[in-house]
Amino acid sequence: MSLTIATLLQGLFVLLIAPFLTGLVRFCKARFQGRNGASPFLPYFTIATLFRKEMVISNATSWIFRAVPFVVLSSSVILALLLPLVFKGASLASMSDFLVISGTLIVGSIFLVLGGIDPGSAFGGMGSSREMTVASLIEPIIIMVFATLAVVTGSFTVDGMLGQNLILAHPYLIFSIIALCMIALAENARYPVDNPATHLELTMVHEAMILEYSGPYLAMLEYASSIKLTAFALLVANVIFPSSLIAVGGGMTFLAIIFAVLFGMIKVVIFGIVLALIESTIVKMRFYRMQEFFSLAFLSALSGMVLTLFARYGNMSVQYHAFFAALAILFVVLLFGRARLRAILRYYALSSLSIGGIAVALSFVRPDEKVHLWVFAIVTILIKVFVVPFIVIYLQRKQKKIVSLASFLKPASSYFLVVIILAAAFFAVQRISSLEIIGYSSLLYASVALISLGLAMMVVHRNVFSQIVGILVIENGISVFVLVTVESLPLLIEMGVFLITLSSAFIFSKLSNRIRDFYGSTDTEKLRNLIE
Amino acid sequence: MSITSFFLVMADRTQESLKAAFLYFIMTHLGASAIMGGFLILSQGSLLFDLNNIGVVSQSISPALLITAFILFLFGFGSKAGLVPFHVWLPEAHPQAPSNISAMMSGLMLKVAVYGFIMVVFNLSNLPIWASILVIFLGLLSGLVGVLYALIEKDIKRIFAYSSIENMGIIFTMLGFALYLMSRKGQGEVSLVAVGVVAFAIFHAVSHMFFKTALFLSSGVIISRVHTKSLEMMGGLAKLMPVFAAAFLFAILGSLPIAPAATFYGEWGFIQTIVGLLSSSFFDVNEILILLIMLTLFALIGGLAVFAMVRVFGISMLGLPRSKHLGDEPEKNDMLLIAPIFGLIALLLTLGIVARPILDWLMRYLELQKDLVGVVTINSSLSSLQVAVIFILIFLSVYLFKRVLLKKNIEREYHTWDCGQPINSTMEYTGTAFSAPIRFFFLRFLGSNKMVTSTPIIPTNSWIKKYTFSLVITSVWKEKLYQPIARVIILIADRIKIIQSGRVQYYLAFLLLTLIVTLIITL
Repeated sequence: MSLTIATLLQGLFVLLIAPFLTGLVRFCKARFQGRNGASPFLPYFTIATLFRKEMVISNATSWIFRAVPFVVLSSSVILALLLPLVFKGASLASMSDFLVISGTLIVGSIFLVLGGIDPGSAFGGMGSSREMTVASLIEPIIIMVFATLAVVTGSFTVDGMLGQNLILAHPYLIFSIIALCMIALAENARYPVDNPATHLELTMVHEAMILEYSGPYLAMLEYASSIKLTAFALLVANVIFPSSLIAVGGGMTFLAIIFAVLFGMIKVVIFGIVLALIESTIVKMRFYRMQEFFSLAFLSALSGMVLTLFARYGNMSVQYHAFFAALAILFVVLLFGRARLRAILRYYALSSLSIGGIAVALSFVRPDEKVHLWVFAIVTILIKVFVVPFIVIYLQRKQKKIVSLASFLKPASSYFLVVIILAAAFFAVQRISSLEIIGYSSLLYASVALISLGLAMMVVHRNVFSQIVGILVIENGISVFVLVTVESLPLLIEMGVFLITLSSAFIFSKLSNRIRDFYGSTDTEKLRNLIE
Repeated sequence: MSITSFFLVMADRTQESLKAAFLYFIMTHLGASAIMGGFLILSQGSLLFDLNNIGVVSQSISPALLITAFILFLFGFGSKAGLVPFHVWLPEAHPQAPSNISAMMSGLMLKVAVYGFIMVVFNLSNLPIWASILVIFLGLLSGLVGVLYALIEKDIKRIFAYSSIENMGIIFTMLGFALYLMSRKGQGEVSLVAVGVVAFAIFHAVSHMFFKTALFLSSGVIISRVHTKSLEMMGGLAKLMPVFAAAFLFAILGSLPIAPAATFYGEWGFIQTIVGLLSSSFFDVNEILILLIMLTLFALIGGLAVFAMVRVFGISMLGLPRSKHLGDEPEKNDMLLIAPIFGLIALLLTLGIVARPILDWLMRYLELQKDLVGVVTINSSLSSLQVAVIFILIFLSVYLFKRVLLKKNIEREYHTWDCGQPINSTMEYTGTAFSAPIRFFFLRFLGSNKMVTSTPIIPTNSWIKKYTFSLVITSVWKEKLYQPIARVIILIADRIKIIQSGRVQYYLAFLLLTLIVTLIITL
């Protein structure tokens, strides 16, 4: 019986705290923007007032318009009851299968969409079309993230997945969690997918669909979206800190309930503040750039899955150098889809930082080379993270013009090109590592991947500056290769390599600038015409 | 069967339906002859061949012949099921037939191909591993292509036809994967999973039968009401035919992988199996790649299918009516039209509620058929009955809560918010506009030809312009695959025409020659 009580208590807790979270996010955002902000408890009053107001129903609508709030609210309540949000192992735990959960999410979206189309206005239709796009493209990401967790924990229910301490034991799950956070943003119509604060036609998705609702029905829809946000807040927090869940075993003490509620409140507050911070620092994406967002989220989920499988099959415990190698590749992947030189150099710097991390992590594996590896790491960070990007930026800043590095591919397509390249590189390396020359196959893979990505970058982008970055990425790959194969290179030679990197970055940037000065463009397509 | 349905397809007696019917006739006969060829190879020429002997014969036959037979069967059954490179007839023939016939063709006749495929190909032993990968590849391709075209099509019945292709793709992916597991050497425990996968495929085929029939019947009701198949001319039907709208809505929801309906459990089981296999350590890296691709594409296809189906319902039933044939007042319900749809939905839902016991039974049954023991069933304790009951309970409690809490409901009817200027049905989002984001995101996979031309109304003033917009969705398959083949065939035919001189004696000479050659070969 206590299991049922736990389920009901959890539902009650989520239902009660949901409007507070919405209010809290608005309050924090107002504070970040330098406004005073309304009380975080305002949504309670808003919902109560709406429930007593008159409803205006469009005469173009059918019964479906009236059914929508009920179904949407039910789907949110189902989420609040099924997912392990406050208690673990409650009575509906066996039903929290991840496909059931994603199906429930989809039902909510479907009915919102139908409610948006029914009044026959173009606003509603637009919101519906967008919402449906988001909901259908988010599906593979949800399934990939939860499939990863299922592979790690061996359980198909979300409840079972949160049994162990996931992150500490499996650091690579950080990719899956990033993807989960992106899902949470997209599902709850937050930045950068949707702007929850406006009715402006260009930004609206969720608000456009509920434009025709008023009175109690509007209250139900608003309440439903608050509940969904709260459910996601608690879910994300629980995936990161599974130990904050109170397991419902044989009996439930009063103390356990108090703790559960307390933890739940803390998690909701922290999530609200973090969400407000995120929303205040990033901008809304154009809707037609959404494919980048989804590709990135999917790629992140996929890398979580792939690393998990690697760890399982290699029977490896935590290998920090492999983790850093994955990060180095991921940053280069991100760099791939960017267009602005500054963004590209930022990701290059992050990727180099991860290579420094590899060296540091290796120093724990190979203690006899500790000093050498540390010097390598420090010099790498110094030169590749700070000096090289600074030189390139400084030299092109003289032009007083934002350099946009045009690419032959759209960002989303280039991400998928990256996946293919990575897979090809993997199969290439598989052949080599079967020869068993080296022990660090993950690093070898990283170096080959970096080299091929650098080359692909030079092929795909068509700007002289991006060729520089491509060469720098290749050089990074080679330095990882050196790290793996040559046990210890004389320090002098290594310094020489760094010097060459530095000077080549300088000379290339200088040359590129010259090219632009003479010909007025750095687009390689246009430069091609110069041969005649 | 294909001859009778050939006449059914051209029941409309329009030019288009004749064309579709002949395309159907040709494709289905090519398929049939391929299957016959496969059987002839297996039986080594004898015409009296017992199907039960397939397994025995395929062991004694040479690998090259076996592969040829397999390819013939794949083409034969694949073309009958509408697998992707051989699918061109399906979106032409199914929509052209009257709706009740399309319901039968999509719901039932496609399953015959699945049945044949399971009966014949699963009995071939010693198939190489790439053969099953080919089936998986074609299945996934069909799923993706089917769902993408279902998303952008405008003809309501073509949408459902493409959705059939998608579902056939899903079923054939499952079957291909089962074949793959069976043809893997070693590891007995993994090949046993295959039985489970076949069970899911069959289960999905059955649920597809129910919901696709319901969908085609609904499309018939709609078409009889608005006198067009184009989605862009529908709309506003939910207000006029509320009971039918409910039936259609349930049919649409039933076609999606959403929990209480039966459609959910086939895909659910398959994804569970994939994830289960991923976490087991039976597989090497290349095989994991296949698993990951299948997992991703299944999820993507599922998501896009939701989009396609919701689009059909939203655009055709909701909003303002675009058709001139519709009045303003709710119409009398013709229960004879609606009752069959409700019946099918009831079947689908019942199947969904008892999904777990049925799946377990199906697996045990298949297990006995194949003499396999200890099937690795899915180890999830999800109970389909519980899911249905809890979902309905929660919905009812929300409904009652609202009812009890708010007895006094003040309502006012008013027109849709219109920004001060009256809105009409031409301003609504159309089906084409609705799928615009997806069309944009998947531009590389879809051949669409968009053209905006602007001509100045007055030649001297370039500011006032008249715009014409046209969007043509082209079929990449027709252009890149079928038209070159057709061109080559016509070219060859042109060359062969030389021997057609028109004299009777020549033809008799050919006859004699053929007779002699045949006698030489056979004797």
